Amino acid sequence: MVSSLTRNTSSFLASHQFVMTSGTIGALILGVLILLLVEKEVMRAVVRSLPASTRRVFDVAAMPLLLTFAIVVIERFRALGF
Amino acid sequence: MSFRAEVEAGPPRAQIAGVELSYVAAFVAIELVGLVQPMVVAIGQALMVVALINHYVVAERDHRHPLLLALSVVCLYRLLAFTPLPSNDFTNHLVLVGAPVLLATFLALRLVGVPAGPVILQRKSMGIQMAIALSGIPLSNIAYKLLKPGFVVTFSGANRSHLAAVAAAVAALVVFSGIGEELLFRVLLHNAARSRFATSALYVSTAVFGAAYLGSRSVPFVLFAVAVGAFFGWCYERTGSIIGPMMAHSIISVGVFVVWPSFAHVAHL
Repeated sequence: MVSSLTRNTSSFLASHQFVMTSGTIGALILGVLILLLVEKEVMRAVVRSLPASTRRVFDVAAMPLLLTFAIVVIERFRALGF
Repeated sequence: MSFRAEVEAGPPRAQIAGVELSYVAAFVAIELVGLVQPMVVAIGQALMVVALINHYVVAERDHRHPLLLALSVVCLYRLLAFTPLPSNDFTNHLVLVGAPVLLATFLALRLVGVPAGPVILQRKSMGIQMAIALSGIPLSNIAYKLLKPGFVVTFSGANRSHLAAVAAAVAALVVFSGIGEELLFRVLLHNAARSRFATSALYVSTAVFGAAYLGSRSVPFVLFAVAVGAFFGWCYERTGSIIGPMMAHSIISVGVFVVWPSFAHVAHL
């Protein structure tokens, strides 16, 4: 029982080429990551007395997205033969 | 009550509960629509992550919305399930999706004030926990018969994998499925739901857990996932320890993807 490995996700990933999925899903992950990081920095600049815990809320999603984006980029380079 | 006092008090509890239930309903709806077009799940859950994180930040001043943060991690898990890899390797997928989600779960648990370490190491009523863990053996057989997974790692039969590959798959299933999913769905999500819905929290965490398995495209398996989610949630609620559900979940996952597929060819002889 692994909810990330359902028939839906596995058939989607198997039926599309890596170049296509890494482009679309990678762009989606990058978009969310940039949005959250920009929001975090804007909030830090605008709200001077912003508590550290509030800033860390963005990290809950941003850190894993950054990790996944790095993995996608590394795999993309590997697929290109680097 | 004056206007200022009303603003400081925040919205009434029923209104907050309604908003949180709307997010849960949106999560279920995205998973349902995703059965027709899987990309909807990726895009929908990405939007949900942004919406939930922002809502949590805006509402954080009164510290009454831990469910929003917990739900954002679940949505992140569903988004990252679509992480593309050049080869559809079972263990790679588990690690590359599971590791970022485990990181998010630990960060969220720290933010809501539930340290993951003591929760995992908490040794309460170990006899009962072992009994809960052993329930994973029959449950794994039922899950395998209902799911018949396409991705498996077998240690016997014609397509058997190298022993190191089997060991790696088992380790990944234990860490990212057994421990990771129980920390996410029970410790983070169930605890967060309990702060709002008290004893009804079990319905919320079970609904989200069941909806996460809608992608299996099998009604009996989704009903099984709902029943197992309710059972694990109930065990966690009653015993206060997550060790039993973690071990049972690990046994189910290892059984479904490694053990029962390895014995499957024997039955056909």
